[in-house]
Amino acid sequence: MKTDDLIHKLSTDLKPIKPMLSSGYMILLFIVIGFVLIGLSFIMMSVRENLSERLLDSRIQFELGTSFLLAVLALSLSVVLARPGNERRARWIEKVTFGFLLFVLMYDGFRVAQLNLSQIHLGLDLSGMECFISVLGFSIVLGGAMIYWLRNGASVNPGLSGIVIGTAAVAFGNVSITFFCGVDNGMHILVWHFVLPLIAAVGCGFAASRFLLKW
Amino acid sequence: MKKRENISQGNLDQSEDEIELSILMRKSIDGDSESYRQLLQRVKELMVPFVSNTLTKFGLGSQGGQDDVLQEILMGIHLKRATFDSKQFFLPWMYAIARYKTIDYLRRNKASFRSVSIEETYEEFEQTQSTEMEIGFDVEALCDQLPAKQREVLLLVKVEGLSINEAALKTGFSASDIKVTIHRAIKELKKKLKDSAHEN
Repeated sequence: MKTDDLIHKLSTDLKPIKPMLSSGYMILLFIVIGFVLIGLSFIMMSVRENLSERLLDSRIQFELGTSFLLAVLALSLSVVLARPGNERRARWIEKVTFGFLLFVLMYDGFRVAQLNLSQIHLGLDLSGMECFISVLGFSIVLGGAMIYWLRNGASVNPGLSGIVIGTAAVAFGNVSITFFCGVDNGMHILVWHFVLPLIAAVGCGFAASRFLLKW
Repeated sequence: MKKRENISQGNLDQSEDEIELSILMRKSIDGDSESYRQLLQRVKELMVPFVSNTLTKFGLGSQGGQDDVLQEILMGIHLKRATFDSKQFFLPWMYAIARYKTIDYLRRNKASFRSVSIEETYEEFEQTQSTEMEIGFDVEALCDQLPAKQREVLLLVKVEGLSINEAALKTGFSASDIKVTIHRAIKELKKKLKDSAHEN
């Protein structure tokens, strides 16, 4: 087909189209979905025993806050990436997001550095696998929902989109698991709540988005 | 000095393209076939040298290949037109799609993945795009410098897409007054753009 014929065909068949949701609205939508999933987790899992007491702890509040902020930053980046022509803004948010991810990892690393050897061994205990599966399961559901919505967009960098979708989902999963896991060992939190789910979710997100977000 | 003048003239042309294409795109999203046909024709004209240069650089400059990429870009614009935000500029959006489709084509047609430096290509395209974005922002700033009446009328007719009569009804000015005001506003914008290009 000649290019002029294509132009004629496309313009003749044109129908009005509803523009994609605005970035702010989409971010809000994903945050709501994240909170709904956290709410559903309360039905499926038993809450940690001393939850109300622990939620008053400033350290837990700080960790919840940083995880939530990381989730919002990564969500924002994934949404901005879904709209072509926003590369400058995306690059700026990318720097902030990955800078903040580094900060969170360093903070967790700092906590681990304060532990003695036996506490580190305790934190690495394989019983933490349960937390890993919970966070990963949560991330896959949330990440799947995000990919489903973002397929309406047009990411010019599907691989990066997948990575940030995985990061956002794990950060939300991290918020969620805080309500259910009774272990406060820094090594346990770093390995089973964060690093391993992050590697798995980012890997899955990267692989899946290269097919699912391609257009 | 001559080169700078050429660049200034180029920037001016691109700013006019930006305004016109943005208006056409907004109308197209509402389902206006004629505007859409004009838009795609303009996109084609803009993309021909872009695609041709890029493919030639990677040794894939046959006519058939250029048509394929052009059509993929047009299809990309058509299928993803819902991602265009009416508050954003058209040219950066269009070039982002063109870049994505061109790189995709280069990868598939070996200029293989390894021999195409994606970063290099990306940066090159990015330069084109960022120039346009800066120009776009300049235009916005320049519009703010217009007298209130000229700015209001220009935005109503050229951005919101109202007809002369609709704009006249809305503002209370006569139709001929609207036409003259638009003419003066565009003339003023051109002058300001030229001045700012010379300053840079």
